[in-house]
Amino acid sequence: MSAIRLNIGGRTREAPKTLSLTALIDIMTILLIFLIYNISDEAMSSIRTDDLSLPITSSGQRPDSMETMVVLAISQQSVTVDNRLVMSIAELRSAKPGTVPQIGKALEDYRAWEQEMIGRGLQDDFAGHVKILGDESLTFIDMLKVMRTCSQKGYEGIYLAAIPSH
Amino acid sequence: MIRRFKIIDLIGKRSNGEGASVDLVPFLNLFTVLVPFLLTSIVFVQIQFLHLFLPVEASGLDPALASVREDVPLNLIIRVSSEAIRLEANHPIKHNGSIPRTHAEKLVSQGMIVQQIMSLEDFSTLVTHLTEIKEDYPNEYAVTIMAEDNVTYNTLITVMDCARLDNRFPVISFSKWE
Repeated sequence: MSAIRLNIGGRTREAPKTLSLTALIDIMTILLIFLIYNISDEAMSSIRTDDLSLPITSSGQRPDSMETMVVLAISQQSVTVDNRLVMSIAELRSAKPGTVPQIGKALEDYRAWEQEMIGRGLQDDFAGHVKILGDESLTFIDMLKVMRTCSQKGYEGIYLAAIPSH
Repeated sequence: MIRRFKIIDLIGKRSNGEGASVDLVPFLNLFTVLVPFLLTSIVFVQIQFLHLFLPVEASGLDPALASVREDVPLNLIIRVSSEAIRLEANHPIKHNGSIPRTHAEKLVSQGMIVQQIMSLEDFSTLVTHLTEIKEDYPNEYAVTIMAEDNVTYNTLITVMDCARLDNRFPVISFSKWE
């Protein structure tokens, strides 16, 4: 093996030329496992959070299954369904009590896409679950409009998102 | 070219009977790409979810019936207004003297419906009341939250937390204030 000559303290030593990457690979492997474990498909990771502040809960739970759920986010500025802008919050507030057509249309579109995925065998049966990420300042009347719309469009399993207090 | 020389070198070493070393550079390249990608996807605070049952209205039930349903043994209702929280039930809610009087509470009987009123921020009293109710009705798990229009989502989540504490009333549904 070829070697590099090093002059240390007046004595000449030979050091191996190749750099041992084993330790680095070990660190990388541990880091990779940690990151994969903590990676999340959470709705929050793909949604702007600067105008969405979730409430804090002490009794929330992680969903049992990792099934596909449509994500409905209601921030201080806008309403998005599956990360698609549907309407502004002002429009939601001015909407009449009852169902909201814009949200209903977006849910219909998402359901059609889900049906297509089911048809291709890429997804299990339609579960009708929806994750609602609501800003803590959202009022009950607006919340009720959204929930009614979800229910009318077949999304009857409603999961309200919150940040755990612990 | 560099990689090809390494392979040749590796084969050469094998043929010479020397100890072969695995080329770790491709692994390192892979990790270098994967780690930044995963770092951008990582979340340190996992979101939790509160499963909710449909609003009474949305489930097709007449909201006017919500407070007088006879088929529900207790039919516990938490009314949340912008100023106070009120508990209602079909049956008298036992009231013992353990609740601090400083929380201006009021016990009002309207036939079989009993109301207990507490201030909006007084969630500890709400928990105390719900605990007492659960002791009296251990087989009851359902509660309906009726809220005024301007009650915030944050307040509703806190009320839900009070009801779900220690799995007392995990079956929660929302209804409009009637």
